[in-house]
Amino acid sequence: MRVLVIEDEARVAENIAAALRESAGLAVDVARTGLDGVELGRQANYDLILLDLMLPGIDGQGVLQAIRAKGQTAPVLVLTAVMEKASIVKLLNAGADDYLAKPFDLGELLARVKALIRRGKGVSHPRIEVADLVIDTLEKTVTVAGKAVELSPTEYRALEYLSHRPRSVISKQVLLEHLYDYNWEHHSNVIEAHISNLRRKLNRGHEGQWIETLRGRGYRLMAAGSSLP
Amino acid sequence: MKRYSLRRRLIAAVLLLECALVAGLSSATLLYIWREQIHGFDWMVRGRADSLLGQVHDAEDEGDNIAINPDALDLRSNDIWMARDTSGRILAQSSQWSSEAARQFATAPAPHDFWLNGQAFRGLELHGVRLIDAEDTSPGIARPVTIDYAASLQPVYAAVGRAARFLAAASLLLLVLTAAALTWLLRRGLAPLAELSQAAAEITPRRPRFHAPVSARETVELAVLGAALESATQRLDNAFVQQQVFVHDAAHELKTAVTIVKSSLQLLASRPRTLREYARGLESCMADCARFEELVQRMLQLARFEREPASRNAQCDLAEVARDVAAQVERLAEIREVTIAVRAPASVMAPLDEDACASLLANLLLNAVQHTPPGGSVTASIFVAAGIEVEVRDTGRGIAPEDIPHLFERFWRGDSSRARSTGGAGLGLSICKAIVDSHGGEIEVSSRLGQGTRVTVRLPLAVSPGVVAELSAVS
Repeated sequence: MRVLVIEDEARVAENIAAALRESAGLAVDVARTGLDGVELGRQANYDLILLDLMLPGIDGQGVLQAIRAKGQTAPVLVLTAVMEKASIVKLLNAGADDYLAKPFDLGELLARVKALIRRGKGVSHPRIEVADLVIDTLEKTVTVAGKAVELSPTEYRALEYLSHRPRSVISKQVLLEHLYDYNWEHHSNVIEAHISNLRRKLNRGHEGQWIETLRGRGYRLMAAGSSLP
Repeated sequence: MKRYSLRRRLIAAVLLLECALVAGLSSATLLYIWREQIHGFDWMVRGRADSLLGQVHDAEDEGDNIAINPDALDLRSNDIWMARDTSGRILAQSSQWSSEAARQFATAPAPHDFWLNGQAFRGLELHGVRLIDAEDTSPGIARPVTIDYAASLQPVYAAVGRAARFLAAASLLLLVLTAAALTWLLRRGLAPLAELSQAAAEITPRRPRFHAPVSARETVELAVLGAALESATQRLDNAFVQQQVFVHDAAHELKTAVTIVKSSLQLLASRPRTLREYARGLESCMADCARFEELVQRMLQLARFEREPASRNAQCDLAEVARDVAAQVERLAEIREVTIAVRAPASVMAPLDEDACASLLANLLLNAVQHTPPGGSVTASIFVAAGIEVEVRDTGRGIAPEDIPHLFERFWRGDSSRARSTGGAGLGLSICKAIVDSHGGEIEVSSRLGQGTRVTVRLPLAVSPGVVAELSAVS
């Protein structure tokens, strides 16, 4: 999952980014001005956007309208020091999905971020089940037929992303964009290695394939052993 | 506090004046009526005395005695009269005639008033001649006769009394009508005042807005008051809005500061860390707290300079403070590779206290140093002419023309990356402006992008008492 943080206060942005990376295993990009926020918010495929309301240049409200106008569909969580009802209503009407008042609790921020990402994917429960594969997105644990599977953080993130849209093809590029922020070198063979490891770990002691590779198109998560459509 | 009604006072004053006028006029009228009545009365008495003389004249007598039948005369029964000859012999008299009455006539021969038996009378003395035994051929014997005649003044009194009663009733009616008309007219006339008061009563401390009603604006006497109220509430509203903006901005700044510290600590505590990570986390928390502290301290400083009027007796040596501050800023300037210089006379006494002086110069010099790239220079010059002029000039990046009007706004930071890199709270120039304003001076910024910025502060040689009074009134 990849998150865009638009926040002008450097220390706040740093702390949020660190918490999202460490505790939620998310890829995080940071924009420090409204203009940068609009630019990034338009370009990449984000799973969530965290938006500070008071920004230099274009303010949060303007950024929100601009990125929504440009077709950004990711959930937007607004961070605001102003808690006036009118401005909150205005924000929600302009396309924000939730808001959090400053000074916020990091734990609450993380919980809301996870919930909003889940909602954005059309998943209402933190437990994702595909046949006998169960992913607990809170505990970040994976079991196959009741047996725990040990995954590296990147493998887990890849699996969780694929599990949000089981049975549909997800391109290597999209997977890359959602797993890594701009601070990482994008090497498609890194993804290939991770997917191959993931496949090996899931298949251990089982029959059939969980993750199918479609050459030139991408990957998809399938219930193991089920026949191809 | 005793309250009185302007309207009632006005009505009372008009009625009192009218009372006095009516009383004066009525008295004059009554006097005139009295005089007219007396004049008529005198003619009447004289007529009756004449008719008595006629009787005496015509009386048949033997010798000089005459007998007069009062019933035959057209005289009032309560009149008193007497006819006598030169020797004093009484020829005839009325039934009420007495020696008492005779005395009244003896004392005054002209028409005069007197009291007799508790009744007011007015009488006169008439001298005539009686011809006795006059024939066609002989003139007869002439005998002078004196007639005293008086009549009761009661009818005159009654007439004047009636006139007085009529006048009193008319006056009373006039007063009542005047009072009613005045009340109605005043209520109508003072309606704009009532509307103005009602509009003024609607001013609330939360939203001090006021517009004088049209009726008040159209009234010459109230237009001034309405305009004064409007401008006063306008100023109050501006101050209120300014205050709200400040509170709003301050809340934002403080919440952001708390957010930084809180999130740093929560991040640090979110999972077990190595000793080195803890140490680094704490270090950055300490730095965050220091910035937080600086922000609060600057906000308080700003509030203090905005609230407190300049002290009239304050004096400090601006040149000396400038050199001290420059020495303190020197270290930062060296790190940033900026040279700093002070050009000032040996001593310049300025009407500021040392704290304000140091804050002003430190803010100006720090700003200049922070916004000047390495290799640049900052120069502070102090001149004394009609006033004191402090000029801080740098060879920095300059400020965009569209940003200059915002420079003195609280918490305003130019382009964000610049503000963050210098770590300012956006209060430095606001503090400078508050200090300069409270001392009746002015501050001005001129800048050219890429060439540098010049901040000019002009201060009076002494703070005039007027400025102090005005500023304390404002605060």
